[in-house]
Amino acid sequence: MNWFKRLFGIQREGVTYKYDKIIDGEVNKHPVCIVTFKNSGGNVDLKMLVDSGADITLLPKWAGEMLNLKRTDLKYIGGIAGRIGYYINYTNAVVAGETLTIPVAWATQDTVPLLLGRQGVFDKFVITFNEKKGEINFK
Amino acid sequence: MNLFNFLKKPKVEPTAQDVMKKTDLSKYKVHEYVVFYSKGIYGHGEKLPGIIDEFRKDHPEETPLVVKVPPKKFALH
Repeated sequence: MNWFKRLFGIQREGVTYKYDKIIDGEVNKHPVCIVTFKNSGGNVDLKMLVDSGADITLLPKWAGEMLNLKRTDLKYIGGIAGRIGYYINYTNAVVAGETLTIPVAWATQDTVPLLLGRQGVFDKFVITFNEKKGEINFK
Repeated sequence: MNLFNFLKKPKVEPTAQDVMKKTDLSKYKVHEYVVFYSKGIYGHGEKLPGIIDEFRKDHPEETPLVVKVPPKKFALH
């Protein structure tokens, strides 16, 4: 069906995710998506908050250990959670069906959420946050 | 040849995300890891590497979805 749409110039629908709760019992729902991280040991899916306010994708300590990320030069980042140490890694990830190589900031602590940031990701899509419907679309 | 095959809805296999959405995470301990896959919950516990290694041996063709149960008062903002 995709060839039919391309032939007649019908726009791609893209991939849509429904807003979801980050934790049980929470009232608010957030724009989340499932990102498949690929590493030498195999693939792993993580539910990440799509954060247009984050320059870079952020992974907590446990996620980086699971993905066998490397401890490169330790840097610090400031944000709403305060000052956090992190290591920059480049990793392959599948976002909305597209395989990308994205920079990730692997935090030195577990008290940070899984955030999908802009670098390497947002410039590959037209991302629409439809707050009324509670959906986020990647096209 | 069935000319009306295109009208049939393709069968969609359940995914790990579908399983996760139906799961009540409140019955798991805070900071525990829960590993989902297309057929259900593979396992849960506090030692993630062990669970993932076992998962890969049992289901090499599948991709696990890992969720860490956050504290109840965890807030993003």
